[in-house]
Order: sequence, then structure tokens, then C-alpha cells
Amino acid sequence: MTATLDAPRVRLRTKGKPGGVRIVGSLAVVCCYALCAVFGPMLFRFDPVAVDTRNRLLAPMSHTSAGDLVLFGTDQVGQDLLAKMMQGARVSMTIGISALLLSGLIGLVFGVLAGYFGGPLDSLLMRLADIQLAFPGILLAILIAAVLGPSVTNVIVVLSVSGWVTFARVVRGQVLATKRREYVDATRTLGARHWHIVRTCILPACRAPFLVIAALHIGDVILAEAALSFLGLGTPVTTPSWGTTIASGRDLLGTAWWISALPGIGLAVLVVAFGVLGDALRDRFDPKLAGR
Amino acid sequence: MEPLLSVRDLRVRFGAVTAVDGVSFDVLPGETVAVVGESGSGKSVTMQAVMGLLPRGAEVTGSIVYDGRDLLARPLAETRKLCGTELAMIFQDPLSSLNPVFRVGRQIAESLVRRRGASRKERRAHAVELMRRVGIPDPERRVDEFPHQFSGGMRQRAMIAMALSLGPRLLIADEPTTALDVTVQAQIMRLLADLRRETGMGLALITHDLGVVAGVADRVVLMYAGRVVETGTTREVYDHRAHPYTEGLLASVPDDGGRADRLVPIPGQPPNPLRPPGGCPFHPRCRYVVDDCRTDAPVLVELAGRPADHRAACHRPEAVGA
Amino acid sequence: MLAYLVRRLAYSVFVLWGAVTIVFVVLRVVPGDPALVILGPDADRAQVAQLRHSMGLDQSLPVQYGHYLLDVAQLHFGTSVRLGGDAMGQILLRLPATAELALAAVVFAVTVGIGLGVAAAARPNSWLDRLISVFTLVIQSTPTFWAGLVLLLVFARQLRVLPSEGAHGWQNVVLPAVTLGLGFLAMVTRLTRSGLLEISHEPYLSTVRAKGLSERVVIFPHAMRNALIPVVTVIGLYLGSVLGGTVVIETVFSWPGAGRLIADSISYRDYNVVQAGVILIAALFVVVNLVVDLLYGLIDPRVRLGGDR
Repeated sequence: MTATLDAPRVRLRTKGKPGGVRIVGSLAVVCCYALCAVFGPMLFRFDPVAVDTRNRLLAPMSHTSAGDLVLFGTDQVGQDLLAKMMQGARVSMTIGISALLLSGLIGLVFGVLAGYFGGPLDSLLMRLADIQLAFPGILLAILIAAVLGPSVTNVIVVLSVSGWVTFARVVRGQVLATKRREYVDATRTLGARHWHIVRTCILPACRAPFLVIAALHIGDVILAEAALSFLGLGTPVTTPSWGTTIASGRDLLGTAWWISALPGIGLAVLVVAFGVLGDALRDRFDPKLAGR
Repeated sequence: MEPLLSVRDLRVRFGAVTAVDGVSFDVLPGETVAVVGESGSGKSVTMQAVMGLLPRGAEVTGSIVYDGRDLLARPLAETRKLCGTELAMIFQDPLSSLNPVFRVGRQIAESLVRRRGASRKERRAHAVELMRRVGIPDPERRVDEFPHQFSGGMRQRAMIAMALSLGPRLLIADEPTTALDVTVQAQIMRLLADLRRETGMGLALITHDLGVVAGVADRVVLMYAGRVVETGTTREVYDHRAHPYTEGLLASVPDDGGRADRLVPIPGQPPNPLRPPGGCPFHPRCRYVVDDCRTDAPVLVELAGRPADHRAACHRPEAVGA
Repeated sequence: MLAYLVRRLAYSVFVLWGAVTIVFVVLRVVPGDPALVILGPDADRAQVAQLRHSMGLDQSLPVQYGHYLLDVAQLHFGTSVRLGGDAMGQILLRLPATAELALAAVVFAVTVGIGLGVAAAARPNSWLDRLISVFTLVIQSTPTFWAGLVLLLVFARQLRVLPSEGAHGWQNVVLPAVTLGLGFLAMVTRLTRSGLLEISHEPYLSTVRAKGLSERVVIFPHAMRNALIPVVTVIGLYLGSVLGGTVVIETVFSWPGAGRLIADSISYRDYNVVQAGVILIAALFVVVNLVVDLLYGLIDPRVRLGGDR
């Protein structure tokens, strides 16, 4: 090995804030997906129970018997894969955003309560977080989903319950750091109530780290939803998410690779965009979070 | 006598910043040379250039001749081979200069193991012997301790032991006492002087403290803003200072009596390396400044009526100390 | 040191108790009527009533919880409805296959991850560094089971260089282990890179250079040993994801391990096996974290000896 260990060159800040290009670029990708999810299913009608046996397993870029171009091919029951993916985008993003909001809300409330009031409440909540982290990765979600059964609402609940810990920990840390600041003391000395202090001093300080974690977390939620659906614990076949679609093409890998491959790529691109967004937000707002 | 190390017209640039600007000096075998200056004067960078320790991206020109070989004209790998065996270096902060996760003994004997093929058993014996030589008490036990278990003075002794392990002919000490307690500083300086006498190696001592220099150094090189401003034998420079910066430094050193009320700091700040002043870099802080100083940078020249090796870079050397 | 060990051990037991309790809440309290969940919606009332009685569901929740804790403490997890025999026994029977897979995945991820991390840190912001960071980002953004399917498609179906299923011989472990290790690989790569860059200015690396030792020695062992300290902590946390990931990956590759048994048991409503599997994996994870915590002291002498930090 001839490599040397070099220190990163100090990048002179030339213009604007760091990560501007990455934030705009990744947001643009996310917006494209959002548009597809909202308007796609209106333009390309997708009927989950329709069967068109004459046009089964058509390869991408081929034509149906009616002469229509199917850009992404068709699946095993003759459905247009593009339409199915747009429907999947709607389902997956709905789940992702709902679960994100719900777990973010739980995490925010728990984090503020633990950090602001401290004491036994703090110990209780943080021990609960530790215990929950004893379930590795997606295992707790699998367990809960197995009991609740597959449905969109259940998936949202499952992913929210298993996702709040990161938010709570980061928010708590931020609250602890903010609580000791002079301006918070000053506000308290002036006779402000707890709710007022939380609203005017604490919550604004939590905004940046919360956003960073949210952007990094939503990708994980979408990935987890896909994994649950793959195991048959996610969304039912009647509301196919990307995960469901990927799973349904599993047995046809040899003959119709596109059924699994294309939704997977679609999903990965969105998650990459969220990942880039999260990293860029982190660089801009909170370099200290870099180690995560 | 042929110099052991001869630096000629050394220039080091990091992008737009010129850290070292035409520095020349010699170190004779067995001699102690002190390189003195404030932080940012380029004294450490000069020595890092000698050792080949500058970060990538540094532009180095001029020549660094060690024992007849021009290090800058050869690949860096060759300089590295000389490091340890011919040239050795100890650093300012002995705690961060020792790897926190390895035992002190292992670090001291590492060169012997990796470069002379010493066995593990020999390693320990060598380390103990070196630690004894630099005055670390109870070396049999301390050889297995970690750096954080050592006191500041002991850490610097360990660094010195490490530097001596392959018997170098030139030891570069970069502010070896700055991070230490005052009482320990004197001990370390005495140790360095003793070792230099025993081994006959040359010693290049980098310091910002002229007070440290007096008893130890044969010659001094004073640096300011990347340039040599005055050089000569220690006695000569102390008695016949010819540069206002030297005068300022001497005025800010406590005398033997330590009468702090007479200490005079040099007014002003060292120059901003991104925007160095025109002319003589010292002129904004100089009390003898004349118009020439603001436009012409003085060169290092011999002084009328003084020994040939006493040189200063000043337009009005006669005004200083008069 | 001993006091710390005892405290750490006690905390592990506490976390384990909490995990076991969560499993109880999820399986017995959340569903309302677990018997109905187990038997499915088509069961008739008599069957449900009988199962409720045999499971002790007709007793109050605190009593159920007490029985449950006693059972867990004695490692009684009931019998497998589908396979017969002890539920935990069934899991343990398949644990070696899972351990083999997880171990292979970790070895792959750590060796390749450290290699990539060093390569990236050697020239920060070079094209190689950028390429590696894009690679890790894409890996972390790809569903692992999908990556597994793609690897299957490419290496087993198209190139036919590796087998797609089963667990005979080393070739069979390659694809599932690589798939399972991908996320971990990305994590190790990122941590190694940032760890190395963080210490790249440390004076003790200059000391090594001043000794005339090569850059290879500067990186291994001097820089690596320090950069590894944060890596090890996160490796411990992330090993959990590897264990959890076995449920999905073993299903993709039909790997006969405990993870696939859990997944299968879910679809057959064999909840005793699910419960045994989940608790075992959580217990393994708690133990792994304990070990990593102690290992931390081994790597960083400042922690081990309680020195000033």
C-alpha cells in the first residue's frame, strides 16, 4: 500500500451555505415522486383486481395487443407496471410520511418531556428507549405486524412505534443543551410558564436536528415498509406498495425480471434522494451529528 | 567543518500563504542551534520540511542538504529512511505525540523492531534500557504502561527515548518544554544537553523562549514572519543584538532576578500571513522604523565590525541596542 | 472495573426483562384476543374457548404475565403448533445456520468495509473517495431483499457462478452473506473513513513518520487502532440489524435458519415459535452489546484503566 493519510483540505467557503446544490437537487427528485404519486394514478388507471391474460409478462418498451406502449412492461396478470408503480408510490409515500409524522410526534413529545422535566420521567422514557433498542433492526416491526395483520393503517402504526426512539433521543439531547442557555434562564426568571418556555425557546432549537433526523429516517421507513411487504406483513395485494410489487415478481425473476427490478430501482432512487437531503441538511445545520 | 545540515533559501508555500520565505542556516555536527520565533514565524514548518513531514499540497523550494545529500532533490521515501536513523524529532505536546492506545515501551522500541528486526523479547529490553537512559524511574514497570499513565515530563522523556532509539546524528526538538510545568522544563533541557554531550549528536532546538536558549545553544537563528532576521553565536547575539525583534524578545525575557516589572512586551501582533506587510515584515511593530523599512525588505547581511557569522536583516542595525 | 461489570450485567438483565415484557404486551395484550389471532378468523367459538383455556387466557392479565415470566425464566416457550416439539428447541435447531450466515456477513462487511474506508480516507475528496461514498449511499438506500434478488438474478440465474438456494458448501453462503452484510458494509466504510479523517491531524501520526516508518505502518496499526474505537461501538449496535435482517434474507435465499423459521411461523400463525425466536434474537443482541462494551475497554486503554480522558 502506498496510500498516505491525508487531512481533508479545508474548503474555503465561497458562496452560500454548504449543501445548497444537494438540497435543491434531492428535493427536486422527491417532488417528482410526489407529483407521480399524486397525479400518476389519475392519468394511468390502475385496477388492482383487473386481469388481462393476453398481455401478461410483456417486456419493457413493448406494445400491448391494443397497440399501447407499455414503458415498464406488464406483470403476471397483464397490468401495466408503470401504473402499478405510480400507485405503489402513492401507497409507499403515504405510509412513509404518515409513519414519519407519527413517530416524529411521539419522539418529539417524549424527547421534550424527558429532556425538559428530567428526573424519573426522563429515566423511565430513556430506559423504555433502551429496551426497545434490544429488538434488533426490523424485528419488533415484524412481531407487531404479525399480530396486527396486513393493512395500510397497521403498517403505519407498526413503523411509528418502532421508529420514535431516534427522534426522542436527538430531541432530548437538544433540549438538554438548550435548557442550560442563558436566554432560557432569563425567560424563566421573568415568570414564563413551562409551556411558554417550551414553545418559544425549546421547540425552535429542536427544529434543525429534527429536520435532519426526519430526512434520514424517512428513507429507513420506506425501506422497512418494503421489507414488511416482502414478508407478506405489509400492505395487502389490493393496495400494492413497491415492496408488495417487488415480492410478487420474486418467483418470476428468470422470466420477467422487470417486475421486481424496476420498482426496486424506483424505490432506491427515492431513498437515495432522501439520504442526500438528510446528509446535506446535517452538514448545514449540525456538523456535530455527523457521526450519528 | 562540514555542516551536518545545511538549509539554503528554503521556501514553503501552502496555497496563497508563504510560511517560510528564503530561510538559510547550518547545523554543525555536535552543535546546538536554537531556532527562535513567535508562533507563526515558520520555525516549525522549516523543521517539518527537513523531516519530510509537511502535509501534501505544501510547495517546497530551495535546498536541504543533510550530510552531503540534497533531500529535496530526492524522493520523499529517501528522506523517510533517514528519519529515525540519522534525523530524529520530538514534539511540543508529548501527550498527543504518543499514540494513546499502545504501551509506551512498544512505541519506544517500535523503530528497533520494524527497522532493525529486533525480536519481541529484545524489544522490551531495548525499551527498558532507553527509558533508563532518559531517566524514567522504574522502567521495568513503566515500560508496560500507557501514555495517559505518564506525567507530562515523563511523556517527554519517553519521546526523547524514542527519538534516541536508533542513534540519530541530529535531534530536532520542536518546543520540547512548552507544554510542561516550569520545574519540569529545566529538567528536560538539562537532559537534552546531557544526552547531546554523551552522544555527540547535533541538536536543533525550536523555541519561542529566548530564556531557554541562553544556557544551551551554541548559536541562535531568529525567525520572524517566515524569514531569518538575525543569526550568530548565542553570546554575540545576546551582547550585540542587531535586530529590533531580537531586542524585543530579549526585553520580554525575565532576567535571572526575574523582575517581572521590567518585562516589556513587543507591541502589536505578528503579521497576517494572508496579507503580509510590504517592505520589512517587522516594520509595523518596530520603534526604529524609517521610510525605507516600509518599501524595501532588508536582506540578511554581515554587520560592520562584528564576527562574520553574525548577520541581521535590518536597515538600521546600528540603532538597535544603542 | 468489577463494579462496572456487575452494573453493566444487571442492566443487560433489566433490558432483557423489558424486551420479554414487550413481547408479552405485543402478543397477549395488543391483539385483544390472542386465541382468535392464532386460530384465524374462520375458527368457531368452541375452538376459541378451548384454546383460551389451554393458553390461560381466561385468567387476568397480571396472572398471565406472572405465568409468562416464570415460563420464560425456565426457557419454556410452549410447543410448536406446526412442527410439534418445543418451540425454543425448533429455533435452536436452526440457530447454527443463522450464526454461520451472520458470521460470514459480518466478516465480509468488516474486512471489505475497512478496506474501502481506508481507501476513501487516504485521498479525501478524490474520485475514488466520491465513488465509494456514492456506493455506500446507494447500498444504504436499497432494500436488502431487493439487492438479494438482483444478486440472485445476476450471479445465479444469468452467470450461473453461484448457487441460488440451500446451505451446502461455501458457495451457498456467498450470496446470502453478501446481501445480509451490505448495509453493515456501508456503515463500516463510512465510519472507518470518518474515523481516520478525524485523527489524520493527530501529532502521534507525525511521530510515527518521524521514526522513519512507512505510511502503511502509520495507517496499520497506528491510525486504525484509534479510528476503530468509534467503529466498534457502532458495529455492536448495528449487529442487531444483521440479526434482524436474517428474517428477510433467509426467506429470499431459502436459507434454513432461525430467521426463516420465524418468517414461516408467522404465516402459519405458530406464535410460540415466533415468540421464542424473537426473544432469543433480542437476548443474543443484548449479549453482543455487552461484549462490545467490554471489548471497547480492550481497544481503548484509557477506558480500561479508568485514566483521565
